[in-house]
Amino acid sequence: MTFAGMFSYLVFFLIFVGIYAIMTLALNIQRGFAGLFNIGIAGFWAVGAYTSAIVTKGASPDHLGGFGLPFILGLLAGGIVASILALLVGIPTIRLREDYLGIATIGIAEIIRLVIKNEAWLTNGVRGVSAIPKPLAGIFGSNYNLFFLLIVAAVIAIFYYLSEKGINSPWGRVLRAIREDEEVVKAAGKNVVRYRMEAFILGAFMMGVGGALYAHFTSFISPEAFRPMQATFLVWIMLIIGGSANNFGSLVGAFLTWGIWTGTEFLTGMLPAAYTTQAAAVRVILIGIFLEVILLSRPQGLFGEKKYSSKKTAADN
Amino acid sequence: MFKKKIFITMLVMLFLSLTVSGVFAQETVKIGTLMPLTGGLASYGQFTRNGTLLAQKIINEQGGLLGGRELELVNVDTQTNPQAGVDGAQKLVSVNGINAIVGALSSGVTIPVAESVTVPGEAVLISPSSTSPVLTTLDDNGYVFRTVPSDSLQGVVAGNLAADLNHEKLAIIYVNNDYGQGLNEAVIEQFENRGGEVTASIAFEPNKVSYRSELMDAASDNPDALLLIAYTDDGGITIIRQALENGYFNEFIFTDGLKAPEITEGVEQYLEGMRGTAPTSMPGGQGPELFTELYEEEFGEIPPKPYIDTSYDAAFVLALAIEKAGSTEGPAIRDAINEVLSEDGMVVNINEWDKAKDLIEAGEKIRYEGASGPVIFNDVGDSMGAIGIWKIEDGDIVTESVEIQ
Amino acid sequence: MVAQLFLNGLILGSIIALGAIGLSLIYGILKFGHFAHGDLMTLGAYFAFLFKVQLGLPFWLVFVLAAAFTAGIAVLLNIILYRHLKDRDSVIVMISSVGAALIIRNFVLLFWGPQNKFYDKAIQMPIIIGDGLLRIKENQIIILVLALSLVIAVHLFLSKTKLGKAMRAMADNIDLAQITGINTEKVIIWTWAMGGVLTAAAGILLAFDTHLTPVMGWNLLLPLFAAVILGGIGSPYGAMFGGLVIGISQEMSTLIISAAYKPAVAFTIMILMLIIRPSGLMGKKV
Repeated sequence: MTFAGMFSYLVFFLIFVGIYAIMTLALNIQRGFAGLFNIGIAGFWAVGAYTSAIVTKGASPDHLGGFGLPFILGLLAGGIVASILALLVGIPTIRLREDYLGIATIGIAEIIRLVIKNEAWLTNGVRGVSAIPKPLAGIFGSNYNLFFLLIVAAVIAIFYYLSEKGINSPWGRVLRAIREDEEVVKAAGKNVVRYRMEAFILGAFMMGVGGALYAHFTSFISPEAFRPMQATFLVWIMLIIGGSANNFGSLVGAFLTWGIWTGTEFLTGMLPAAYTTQAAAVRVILIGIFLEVILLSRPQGLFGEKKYSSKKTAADN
Repeated sequence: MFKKKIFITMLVMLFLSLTVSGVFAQETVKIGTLMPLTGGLASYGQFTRNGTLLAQKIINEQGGLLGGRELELVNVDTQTNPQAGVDGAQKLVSVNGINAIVGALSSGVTIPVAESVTVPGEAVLISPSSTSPVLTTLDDNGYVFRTVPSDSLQGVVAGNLAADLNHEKLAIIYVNNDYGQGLNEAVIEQFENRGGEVTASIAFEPNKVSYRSELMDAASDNPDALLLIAYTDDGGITIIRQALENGYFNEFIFTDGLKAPEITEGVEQYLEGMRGTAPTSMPGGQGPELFTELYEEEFGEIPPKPYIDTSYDAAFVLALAIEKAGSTEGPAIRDAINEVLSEDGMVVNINEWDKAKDLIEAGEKIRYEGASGPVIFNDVGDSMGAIGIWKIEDGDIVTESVEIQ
Repeated sequence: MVAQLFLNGLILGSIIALGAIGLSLIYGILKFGHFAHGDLMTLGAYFAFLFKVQLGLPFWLVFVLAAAFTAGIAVLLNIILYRHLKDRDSVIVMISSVGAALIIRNFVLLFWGPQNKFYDKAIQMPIIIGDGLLRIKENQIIILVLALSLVIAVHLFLSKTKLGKAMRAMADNIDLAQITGINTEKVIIWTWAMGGVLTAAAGILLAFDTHLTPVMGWNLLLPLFAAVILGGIGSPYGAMFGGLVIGISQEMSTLIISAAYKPAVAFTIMILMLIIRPSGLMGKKV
């Protein structure tokens, strides 16, 4: 590999880090700030990815299409449909205990996967949706990935800014209070369910956008994309390593986790081909053990919860 | 301090793995291979990969490419799954800078790889086994080829086989992807042309624990036999076993994805005498025999599975095209492919890489005679070919006859 | 056709029921959803494969060993992981069980590989009843008999033995149970052990009926939770009933909807339960 090769790889690597960072920021809103247990991340991701693919592609005999909308609208559509899904899922389950929500989200992710696999008129089923347009593809030639990385970075910047703003706002304070002690907040007359639902939907919107970005980058998605359970689990590791309820932590967590994950891929890639599956299994086991160790020894992650605006409120008073 | 430590360890790990993986190594000429080492076609991938490795060995032993550089094959396990295949191809093209790829085996993987990666990325893709008719009409700017004939041929042979075995009513169960659907349609067309009736045509999803519902539906109008279009490991074997166990079928016709002795394990007595179809080498020419010899010398006994020879050919043809083009740029390789297969060129056999190099240098036309017979691509990158009818005898697979296009 | 579907559902339901009993008790006593329960099922099935096919031991010994080993792993998980984490956030302990699930699943993948495996290479022809009305394999009869015996054994254990009664008491109301002087630590360990034994049995029966694959247990996790919620968290009898209902509904649903959506049936039943009566049919009020 030449220097150019290394640089190519770095850009490729960072794009994935970026997409995962978006997912982690999203989960941070749901879990870190609102205390929700979402293990169906893959479902929201998939909905975002497929929605964007369908609305941006031209007509196709294989699946629903023909809208040919521009990339940005694709991203928005992905986010919006994911939000609608969150609304529908949340209505029966948000008011329940968090573990019920967890089980329900796994169920939802599974149902979404089934729909994607079987409603071939919509998604082309197991054959997947290919040739998803990359924004401004022709212009950048071999430097295209760098351009895409800039897009991803821009999206992260926007979401990070909005998330920080949100958490420091009155809305954000109520949310965090709910997480600390729900009963007190209820007694104060706040509609706890509504706040939780809003956090759930916001997070889902971001996950949808993340999924859409993935679709446009890889140009091909199928029910197997994102390796549902593995990816969901990786995002949780990213959140916990970085420190739940800390946006900066989420970014760092994504970078480190994906780095370790791909690093192990490099190492196992040097084994003879006969050991490919075993190598992949070993990697998952290692990262699983890594998570358990973190949970047992340093559950607050690298950065712990960020102290938000406590100074401000004191000064206000 | 904890954070810093982790960060530094990570960087060190990354650096180490890069060095060990040969960042600072010699510049080789790379060809990518997309092979299913796991998943539904795992029982084929290991061997087809050997086909490419054999080509690599011969080429490197006889002087390498583009002025003595070694041929390096960069392999990706497609897991017989389009997502993994596309992700892997993506890496080969945009990160490794590879513009010549052998693969994939399954049409369900090859087609998305072509549409999403190699065609837009201007890399040449030669599949040794993807038989879906979709590849014929794929909008590919000439970047996609295959060393195996389309299922429009295999479908005809299979349909005829069913009719010749005096089956009047046929049920078809096919894997839900481009390969399965294409072959299914071709079989139905031919079988109905011969006056037969297809009572059921059912798509199945791979990797399910039980196919009893599909089998129940397929058997519902009392067909004479089941024609099964599937891969061995992600459904084919399960369907055969459950069909037998639950008494749904006892007459089968198999297709190329099932031509592997593994399907008879535990059920030899029930499958004795059953037949199937699969692309096979064209008769005549010394390529096939020579290939078997060379393969067995290197890897031991050659299994009766298809596409090992066509994989060799795909790799060899790509190497010849690179040598002819004098470059590793996609468009140049693409244009050189048919020049190394000129009808009036001098014959180059599968172990005559050095001869080919000399002829190319001298500006002479060459014609590669492959391990699967003469390799000829038509103007859409499709191959002529032969379809063989195989039979299960004593738990083993033997060839019965060959139909030529 | 209806009869056949009912039979298939009964078999699947028995398997789900066995897995759900342990899951329900753990949920009731330890107050968290054990997401690795499905993969313990897989582990049990593969242990049996090891003892039966790779080591060639007789069937009864295979069963006992596989169940014992799985029980051991379950207890180990509790000691190493869950015990330390459960007093914190319930989400943390659940995520750790998701992690444990992934580890177990990939451990199986690592040691036995991804290909489908069978306890017996040869196939069995079915007994045909009533001119094709019903097809049942000898294996399936054995499965039903074994499942029933295990359920009866569990019932006797829970109702007649001191330990069993203590388990039920703790699952029902842990504070009250502690006041009556029950050795809660001991009961917890035995709950894990029993959960491990039963889920291993479920896995073995499932593999016996179909085949072994590393994701076999994970694929049943949702139906397991659905059965637990349907029956009421903490109620082993509810879990048995819930399992059967889920299994039968899933199979019979193919009369109305496409077979591809079978897994959605369990989920739908569960969501309906959560909306209408979250405490389940036999559970206490939440």
